[in-house]
Amino acid sequence: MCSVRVASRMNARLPAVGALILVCATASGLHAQDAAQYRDKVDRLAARLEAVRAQVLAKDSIGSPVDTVRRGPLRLLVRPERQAFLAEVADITWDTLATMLGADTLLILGSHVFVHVADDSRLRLPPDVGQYRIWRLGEPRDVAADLARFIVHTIWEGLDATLRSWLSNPAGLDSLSNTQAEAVYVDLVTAPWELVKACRAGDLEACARSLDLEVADDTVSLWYTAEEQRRRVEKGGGTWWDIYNRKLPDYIGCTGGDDAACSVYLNQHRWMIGAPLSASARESFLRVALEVGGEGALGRLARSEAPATGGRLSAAAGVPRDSLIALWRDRILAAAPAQVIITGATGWTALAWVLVLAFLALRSTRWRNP
Amino acid sequence: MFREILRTQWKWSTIGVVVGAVVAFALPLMTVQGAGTADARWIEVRQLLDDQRSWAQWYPLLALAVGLLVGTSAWTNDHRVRHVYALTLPLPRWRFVLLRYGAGLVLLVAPMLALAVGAGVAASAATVPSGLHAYPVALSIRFALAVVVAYSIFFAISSGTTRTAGYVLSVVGAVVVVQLLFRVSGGSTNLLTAIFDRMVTWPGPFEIFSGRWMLIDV
Repeated sequence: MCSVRVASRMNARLPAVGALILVCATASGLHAQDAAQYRDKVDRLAARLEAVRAQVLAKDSIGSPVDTVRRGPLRLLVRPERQAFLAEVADITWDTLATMLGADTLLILGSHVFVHVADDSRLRLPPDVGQYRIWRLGEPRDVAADLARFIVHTIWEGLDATLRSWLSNPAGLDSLSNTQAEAVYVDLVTAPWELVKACRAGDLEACARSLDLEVADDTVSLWYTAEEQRRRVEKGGGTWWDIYNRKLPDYIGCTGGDDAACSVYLNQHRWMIGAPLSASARESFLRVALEVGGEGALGRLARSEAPATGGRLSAAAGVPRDSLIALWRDRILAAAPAQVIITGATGWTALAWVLVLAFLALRSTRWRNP
Repeated sequence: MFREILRTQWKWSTIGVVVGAVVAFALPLMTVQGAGTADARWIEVRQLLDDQRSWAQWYPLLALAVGLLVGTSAWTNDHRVRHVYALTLPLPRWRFVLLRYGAGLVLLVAPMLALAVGAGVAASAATVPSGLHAYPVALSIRFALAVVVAYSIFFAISSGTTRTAGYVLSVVGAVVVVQLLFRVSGGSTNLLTAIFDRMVTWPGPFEIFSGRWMLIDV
């Protein structure tokens, strides 16, 4: 940690609480690269980091002494009175990011610089600096979780289009919680599609297709049977585009019994239907892959050149694709919620309590000692 | 003798039993209002489960309310007339209490049956999406056990003397005071939460009230 005094006038009217968090990083070019390119990129990033830091610190508008809290490439420029609080935030955030990104931290936290300003709207920051505002300084753990989520979101935005189209906006990349796994379990057991039923029964290839882990020209036929495709077309949704589409020849052909027309129609409107398992399921798969991969998993994901998402996530996890799918499936099935059904232990315990309470009522001393 | 006691107890707890039975019948029907098609989309399934979850809290609350009404009304009149009627009977006290307890249990059959019938009707009327199941029998058994436990608790409390009630309240008050002392001295022990957790998890008396009370579930 270092302390930096900004050469500027003290402005007492500025709010007491103010913090800038700088995360220097490269988001551009998170694709595969060799060691020399990587080293070159890291060097350029380090220089970029210092340049942006100097640019931010040179702003007169900061207007009061600022301390820098440093954890790896994470920089928090903070008002001195908030230094202890944000040091704790930095520790937690850094632990979270370092575990996820490992040795690739500097590569993944790319050339974008994120600045976090806490309730000081008058701070004017360089135009190329990403900003994230802390609205409420509550518990350090909560602030750190928000900050880590923001950084992860920005990292995700820096990844290539294949991954981003597979999962547009993950809520987070930390370990899969039981609540999330339980929600995916519901998805897995209730989806009415044959492919998902096969996945539930243990067919790993079906799971791969349900999670959209494969590349194919006719993905819709990979996902749904001919009958299911027709059902999807007929269910449509009744929205304005659906009403418009009802006039298209493929729609008319599909509803008239032409299987090929269904396939053509749905492939043209893939964005309307999506893969058999939901985005939450895909996110759970991503989280399991990163969890299995441990340190540096996100870096491996970013650098992988596999054409299909399944291959890339397998590289991130460091295990074969089918093993990863089996791990994910086991994890989801293990999260089955307890049902309303009463176990023997619960039933007998309730009856035992009834007997105990009835006995206590019989033993009351009321008539002996009113 | 039992018939007489049953008759008087019915008179005292008619409102509780009747209202409890009506609500118990209606509750499962209300929970399946949103149940839609067999091939529902995942978002519809989640919505249905969320609806079930939001209704689920009313089952244990209803069980508690019915148990409270029937359990306390069994003794209200005796307390009012200072137990003169009971003392005139040629019965030992334990037998009298047993008759009262048994009469209450008989009255509770009405709301229990009402819920079973309501759950059965609701389960057969609703279109349950693929992958989900209706659990009318399990829900009815759980409700019946919860009603009996609640009834037993309030029956036992109501049958006691004022002194007994004072002892119980003193113990509760002492726990609260100890908790406050912990907090003032900077301790992190949360006695109230620990006790509550023990009560609502196995083998605590209120465990039957916790868990998922969902008529339709995975």
